[in-house]
Amino acid sequence: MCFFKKEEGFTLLEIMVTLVLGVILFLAFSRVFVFGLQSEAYIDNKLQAKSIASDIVEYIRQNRNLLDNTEEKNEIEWNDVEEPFEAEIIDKPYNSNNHLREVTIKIIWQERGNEKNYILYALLAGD
Amino acid sequence: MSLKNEEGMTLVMVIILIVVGSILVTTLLAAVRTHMNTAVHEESMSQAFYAADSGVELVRGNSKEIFEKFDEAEDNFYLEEKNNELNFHDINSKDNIPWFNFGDEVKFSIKVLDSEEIIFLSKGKHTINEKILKEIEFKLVPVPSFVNTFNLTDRTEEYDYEDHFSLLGGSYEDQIHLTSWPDFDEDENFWEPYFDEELNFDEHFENGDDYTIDEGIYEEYRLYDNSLDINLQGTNEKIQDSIIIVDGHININMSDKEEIKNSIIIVKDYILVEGTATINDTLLLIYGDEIYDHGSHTGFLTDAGAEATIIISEVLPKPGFDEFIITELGEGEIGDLALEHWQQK
Repeated sequence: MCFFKKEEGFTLLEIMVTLVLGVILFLAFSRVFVFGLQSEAYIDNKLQAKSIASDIVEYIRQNRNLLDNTEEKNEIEWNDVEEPFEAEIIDKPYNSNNHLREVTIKIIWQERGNEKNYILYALLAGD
Repeated sequence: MSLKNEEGMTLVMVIILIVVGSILVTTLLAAVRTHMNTAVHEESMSQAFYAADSGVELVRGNSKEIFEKFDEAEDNFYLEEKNNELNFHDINSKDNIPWFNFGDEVKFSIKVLDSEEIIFLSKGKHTINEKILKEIEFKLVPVPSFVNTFNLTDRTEEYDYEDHFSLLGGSYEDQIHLTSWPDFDEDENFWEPYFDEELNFDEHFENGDDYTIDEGIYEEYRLYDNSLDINLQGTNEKIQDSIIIVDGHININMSDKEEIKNSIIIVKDYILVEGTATINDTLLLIYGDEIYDHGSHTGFLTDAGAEATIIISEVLPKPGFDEFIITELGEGEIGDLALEHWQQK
């Protein structure tokens, strides 16, 4: 009364060795996967930050009165940014040119406890 | 060798795992690497573009100085800044191109492409990736200007003009760039319709009805002999470079998406604004004996949110009149300069 053909199958040792090697490989590969996913998240945030910075430059271009030609260093307040981003905008005179302001837009965000940023520089003529 | 022999399967399975895992990891890393390169490339493109655009802004900000010195310039001359002065130079060597540096690793140069037409080429570079270069071509155009000087000081106390100006953001002196100005008819005591086919100043309404402007207009001269509704709400259109004269009152109904720009609106009675009108570089001129009795007269000012200059006078201001002087620029005088034909190469 034997329904099953006799199979030799895997020995416990083979299974153990396979499992151990599999776990080691999985751990090694998973680190690379995690790194890949984190890099993708960073790239995604960076591209978003670039887009935000461009939007801010265009807004200032349309509202040049935000640039203060009288100040050595003028900070423009900007709260219209969604989490996790924050924007720091500073304009200062470009060399000694009275008509131009050097605008520095720094978009900051947090990734796994570390601060990342994207900085865009542009010169804009004042109002 | 039998197929049923399963000895050594561990090695086979491990090799399969390594191969599959390696393929997955390699694919993922290749994708990440591509995306990373794309992001770096995008960043450099953006920095290079804004560097090139900064060259345009430099010319915009210093347009008068550059225009005055343009006689020295020839084709392929470069603009250079030394001791806070901008000058044009003939640069023969590629190594000597005068770059304007700013920020970290961003620079641009400005070259004269066509000295006859005053066309420039601004090149922007992000120095991290020197190969990425953005170029913007643009033209500096002197705009025929009328300098309008408003002498209102003797009436400031009576009508509190300062408030009107501060609310509207305008100034006592403003430049409105129109290539034509309506003549004043002394006999009729009104601005003459001025027809100029080349400029398309050709609309003239005189049938005593009320009128409506419900679409954008550009470079048009319009005279209405009764009241006018400017109803642009929701159209996203503009009234630009136009003169509108109304022998009645005007109701303006528009949002911040529509705009009245670089125009002159002369109205006899009053202007009422519904919504937030965006009115830039525009002269609103209101005249008439009874305008100050109109209850809602001051209301329109606070709602307008405009960058316009407003003149209110009991009598119709006209050229030469004490309160309203129009001066056309003399020969050799430089009015405002505009940047046109902006194009990315």
